[in-house]
Formats: sequence, structure tokens, C-alpha cells
Amino acid sequence: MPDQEENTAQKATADKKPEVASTSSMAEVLLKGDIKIFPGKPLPHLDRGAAKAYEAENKNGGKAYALICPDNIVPRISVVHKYMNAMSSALQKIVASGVVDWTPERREKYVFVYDGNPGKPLSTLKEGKSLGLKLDLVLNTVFHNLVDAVSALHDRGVSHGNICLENILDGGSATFENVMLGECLSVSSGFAQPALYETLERSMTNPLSKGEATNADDIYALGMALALMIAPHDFSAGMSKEEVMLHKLEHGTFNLVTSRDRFPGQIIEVLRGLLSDDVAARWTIWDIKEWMDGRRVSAKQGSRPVPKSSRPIEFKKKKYFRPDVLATQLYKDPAATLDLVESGELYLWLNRAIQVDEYEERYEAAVEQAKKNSSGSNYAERMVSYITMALAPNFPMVYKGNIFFPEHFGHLIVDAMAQGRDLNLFVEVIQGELVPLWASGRFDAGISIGDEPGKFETCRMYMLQKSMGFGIERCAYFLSPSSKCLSEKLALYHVRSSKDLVIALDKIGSGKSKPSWFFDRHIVAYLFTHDRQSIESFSADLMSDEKYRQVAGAIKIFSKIQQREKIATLPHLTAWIGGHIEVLVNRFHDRERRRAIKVEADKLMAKGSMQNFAELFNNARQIQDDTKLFAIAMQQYQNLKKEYARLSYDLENNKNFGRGVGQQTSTIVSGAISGLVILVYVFFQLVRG
Amino acid sequence: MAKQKSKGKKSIKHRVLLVGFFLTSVAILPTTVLFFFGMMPSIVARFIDTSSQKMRTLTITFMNMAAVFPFFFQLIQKGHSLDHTLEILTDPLNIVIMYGGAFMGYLIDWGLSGIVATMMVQKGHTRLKQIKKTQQELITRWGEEVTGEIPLDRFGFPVKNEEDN
Repeated sequence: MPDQEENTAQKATADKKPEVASTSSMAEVLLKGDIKIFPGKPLPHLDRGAAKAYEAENKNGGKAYALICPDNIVPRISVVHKYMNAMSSALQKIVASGVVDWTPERREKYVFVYDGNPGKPLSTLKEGKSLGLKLDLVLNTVFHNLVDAVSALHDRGVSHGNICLENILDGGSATFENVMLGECLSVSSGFAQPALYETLERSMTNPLSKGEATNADDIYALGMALALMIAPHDFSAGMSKEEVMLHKLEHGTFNLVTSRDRFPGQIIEVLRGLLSDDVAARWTIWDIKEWMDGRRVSAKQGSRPVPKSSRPIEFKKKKYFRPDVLATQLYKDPAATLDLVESGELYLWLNRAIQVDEYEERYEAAVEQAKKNSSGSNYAERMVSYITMALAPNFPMVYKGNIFFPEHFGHLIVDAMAQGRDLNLFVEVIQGELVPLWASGRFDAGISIGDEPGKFETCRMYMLQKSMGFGIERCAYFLSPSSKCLSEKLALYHVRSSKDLVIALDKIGSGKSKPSWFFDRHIVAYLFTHDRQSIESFSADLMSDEKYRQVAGAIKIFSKIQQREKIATLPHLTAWIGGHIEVLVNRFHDRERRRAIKVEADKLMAKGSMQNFAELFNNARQIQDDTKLFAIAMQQYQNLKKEYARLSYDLENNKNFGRGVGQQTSTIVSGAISGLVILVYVFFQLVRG
Repeated sequence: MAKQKSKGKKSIKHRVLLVGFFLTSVAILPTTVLFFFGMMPSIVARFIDTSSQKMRTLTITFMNMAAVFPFFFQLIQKGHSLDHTLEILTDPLNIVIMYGGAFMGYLIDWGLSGIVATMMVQKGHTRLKQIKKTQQELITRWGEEVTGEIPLDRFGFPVKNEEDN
């Protein structure tokens, strides 16, 4: 299972690395205007896996170093504020974190900058993994500092996740007084942690999806680091990763560590406590402090051991006495696993050799579930997955050779998306309802579960909808909220919020070649998960088939973001939108109104205010008036048409056209003349006498 | 039944009026005779005029009346008697004047209605041109869709073909 490769993601990152310019003569890169990072001065001894370290300078001109986060790995941004509040001189002090324009790759990257020069890792002291240092020296300096650092972190509710000799730094001194714990934020928890320092379950897992390390995981790693510092010989020398894992599983970590060398008596108790494979029995940081203060640490009640049968079961010509050991091998041959199940041999072994009801119950439930939800093509894989859960509920999930904890399943999706790999596997996991059974098995076994079942059910709902804003993209950002937006349109930008989005789009708008449209499935899904209020009201417009509604929706969304984030101006984005407003202008019937709007829009483009654009095009009153006037105009046209028809017919066919009026006129004239004549005659007659 | 009753009532009314008119005519016989012969062109015009509104009849009647009136005035001045009426009517010049008035009325009707009809035709043609111009202005301002000859969607915009979409 360790063949999951610690460096799967690192390898994949290397396979698809963006074009990197020569860094030797690169100019410095600025973070927040006053922190300098020097791309030409790498610090490979401080690299954390795919996160590369470079010399830096804080705003006061003091020494610092920066870690550039890779795009496909989600950094631990959500815990930065807790980390910053952890007070210990043995912890790396964050100077700043944020997005920089990383010139070697000609794109934006997220970066963490730490203060000072932490020195070199302890792993460089000697060839090989173990150091053979004196116990007193280690306890009084290194271990003391490490405990202080870990204690400060655990007090703030954050785990480290990367305690190993490669990440314990000498502080620039050969006497170890200034030993510090290296940084732990630039990559996902446990990504850069060697498998040897991880508990059994975490060591099996894909480095990207180990889940957040717990305090107990830190204690385990601390114990392993302590053992390696003191051991004269490397106790894992000549062993493959799988052999190390199996040794831990079958004999325990303490047994592995003490297999080659005898450790001083005073350290045995603490090593046994720190390296306990049973979380319930493992020491806490408080237990360590008590021990360091000379007090006795009370023994802890361990959980029930894994049953071991007297009669083995054979799988691929090897014999297995324990169900969890068998579980580590099943994924390697799904067809053979299916035969084992369908022949009934596995059930018989559980029933007659293991004889623990829980195993049988879990097994039966697993087989039933596998048969219920499988199509022909993935039946064997699902069977492997369910049977592994049944035999070892404490193990991570297994599916099609991928081993992961659901907590960081989202990180795997992010990695696959960033690398452009196929996403079907993740769709099958979400739609296949594997997580609920895994969670229920852990719950029944007394192992704590988080909110993964609820999250996966939500993701399953997202997968049912095909429209933009849902689907696998929504699942990725929902499960991995600290990820940047992975839209291809934003490949050169590190977008982590809606504000970043509009600023990035504004920069894209200033370029010569722009995408045809602002949104894609990634961007819409990202907005839904990170800034729902800016998109929810307008999503119907955005996803409409009508172009004018899409443009109107886009303007409203950008306007809302610009207003809320108080972004002064977005001239290029406004101009870019300006190229699409034709469809909106044409929604007015009145051509004169259209011309006026275009003139107004041209003026607004220069101002760079999306709000003004929104006011211009989303004025409901104007649109209503235009529609009303258009209706009146239509009516007027029809009336004129009728009048024309009637009049031209009359003119052509009516020989007496106008005669009626003529006769009326002559009647009036005649009446007037007659009246006048009569009056004049009467007048003269009266005057005469 | 009700219609028959009202018809009956109307005919009674008509008869009463007719009888009344007859009696009055007899009572003012000289005036009646003067107007009967003097307004003869109007009476003839009434029967010749086939139009529904009888505008020509009115035109001729007004001018006829204007020509007859002075003689009626004379009749009243000289004494309202049949002798005086006959005296007026036997003077050819008087008949010429009375009938001349009717003729003037006929001339007014013929001339003025012709002129006015020509003007109306001209106005009609002008109006046709005006209508065309106004329609064109409407199309220029509101687009071809204002004509109602292009299929429109519910918002009043031309329905797009699938190819356009």
C-alpha cells in the first residue's frame, strides 16, 4: 500500500510543470509591496515536497525565506490564523502570506514567507535516516524545543503534520539550542511527511489525501523523530515501504524502532508511549511534559486488539492470520478478491477461524452493499473496497488502487483537475455511496468520524444536476474550500475569492487574446461555494440559453462583487463586457434609445464601473416604457395600414369620392347665401319703410 | 305586437300631421300657391335627387327660397290674397327670378361639389404619401418588427431560427 507513492502528486506535478524560465538572473518578486523574494536564490534544503523554498527579505531588510505553493496541492490556509497565534520560539514565524506574480513561471502563485534563517535540516547531519546523537543532548535541546513547539500548536487547536528530521532545522547553530520545527502550511497536511513518520493508516494513503493530521499523529511523528535522532543505525534500512508498513501492522512500531539497536532505559517508556499504534494508548503532549518534569505517566487503556486466527487464509499463495493484514493486499488483485468472496472461503475463515461477530456482520453488510450498487464493470473494485472496510474499519478507503481518507478526497480531485487527468474515478466514489458504509463501519468500531458522510451526500446531490455550478467541479470546491479556482481561463492567476476573480478577469481583459466568455463550470462552481450571495440570485440568468440574459447576469454579478469589495475600477473587464453588450442594447425596441445607450455605455466603459453598467442595462422602468411604446407603435402602424388600404380603395374605386363633402359644402354655402339675401332684403324693406 | 302598435301610433301621427298640414295650407292658400309654384324646382329636385342625404335638394331649395322670399314679402305687404298671388305668378320676370334662384343653387351644387371633390382626391393622395412616410419612420425607429409581418416572441423581438441560435 505504500506503493501509493509518497510522491504521486509530486511526480504528477513534475510531469505537467509549467514552463519555467531560468531563475538565475530573475528580478526579485514582491509580496504586498515590501517583502522581497529572490527566485534566483533557491533553498532546496527547505523545500516541502513540491513547495519550493527561496531566499527572501522582510520589509525591514531582515532575512527570510519563502515557500512557493504548487497549484495542484491545497495549502493549509484555513489554519494560518491559528498557527500565527501559536507562541513558541521553536516555530517558524510567518511574516506574510499571499499571492505573488511569480515571474519564473509567469503566473500567480500562493506563497508563505517565514522570518529568519532557520538553518539546515537535521537530516543533513549524517548519511542515512538515523543520527545516533547523544540522548541527553537530544532531550535537553532538540526534544525540548520540539515539545514546546508542538505544545504551542496543540494549544491553539492546530496540528503540525510534518514533524520529521527533514523538517527539524538546526537554527544555524551546531549545538542544537536553536533547533526549530519547520513550516507545515505550504502543502496539505502530511503531504511532505515521509511514510516512516506516519501511523500505519496514514502511511498507506496517497500523500494528498491523508486528511488533517491529528495531535496524536504529531505525537507519533515526534516519537519517530526522537527514535531516529538517538538510534545509531537506521532500523528501516533495507526495508521497502510496504515491508515497513507490514512490520508496523504485524509487530508494532515500537518493535520496528527497537529491532536493531538497544535504546537507553530512560527513553524506552517515552518511545513506547509516543509510538503506540493504538491511539487510545498513545501519549499526549501533556503526558510528554509530565514525563519531562520527571513525573510518572499513568498507563492508558488500549482498545481491543485485532483478532488473530490460528488457521490462516490463503490469498495469492500467501497465508494470512489477521484480517487487517489480509486487507492490505486485496486491492492488488480485485479478481482474486472476488473469487475469495464468491467461493465463500473468506466468510468461512471469518466465521470459523476469527470467530468475532462484528467481522462477520461487517462482511455480510459489505457483500450485500457491493452486490446492490455495482454495475458489471466495477463490481470487483467495489467488492475490494467494501471487503477492505469490513476487515479493517480503521483503514482509509480503497477504490481502484487509490487509497484515501474522505476528509481530503477533495484534494485528490483538485490535483486531478489541475493535472488535467480523468475524473471518472471520483465520480464513481461519490455516486457509489462508498463513504457512508466506510463511516458506519468506523463508527461501529468506535473510531471517530467527522462530517464526511454528510458532505458526500451533498456531493452526491450535486452530481445529480448537470448544469453549471454543479457536478464534479462543485464537489471539488465544496470538499476542498482552500483550493484556488482551477478554471483554464484563470490558469495564470491564483484566484481564491470573488474579488480575486474579478481582478483576474480585469487583467485577462487587458490582454490581446481573451476567452470568448467570462464563466465556465469551474468559475460558477467556485462562486457558488465561496461567494454564494453574489451569484445565487442571478444564476438563472447566467445559465439561461438566451445570450442577453447571460450577459445581464454577468454584469449583475460583477457589479455586486465590485460594489461589495469596494474595487475602485475595472476598466478592462468593463471594456470586455462592452464587447458583449450588443445583445443587451438590442433588447430595446427603440432604435434611438439603442443609439443613446451605446453612447452612454461607451462613456461608462472608460470609467470602469460595473455598477453603472448594471444601472444602465437593468433599469426595469426603462425596459417597461420601451415595451409599452413599442406596443403603441405597433398599434399605430396597423391603424395606418388600415387607413391606407381603405383610402386607396376609395380613391381607386369610388367615382364619387369627395362628392359628398362637396355637396355638404355647397349646401352650407347655399344656405349662407340664401340667409344673407333674405336678411339684407328684410333689412332694406324695414329701412325703407 | 309592440312594433305593430308603434307603427300604428306613427301612422296616426302622420295622418294627424298631414291633415293639419292640409288644413293649414288651405287656410293660407295664397302663400301655399305662391310657394307651390315658386318652389317647384325644389320639389322637382327632391324627386330627382337620389342621394340619401338630399344635399343637392337642400342647396337648390335654399337658393330657391332666397329667390321666392321677396315675393312672399310683397304678398304680405300688398295683402294676403289669391289675386295678388296670381299677379305675382303671372309676371314672367318673377318666375325667372324665382327659378333663377333655384338654378343658382344647382350651379353652386355642381360647381362647388366638383371643386371640393377634386380637392378631396388630392388630399387623399397626399394622405397616402403621408401614411407611407409615417410607416417608414416607424420602421426606422422600431424596426421591421413593428409592421407585425415578422413572427415575434413574447417580448416583441423577431423569433430566431435555430441556425441563428
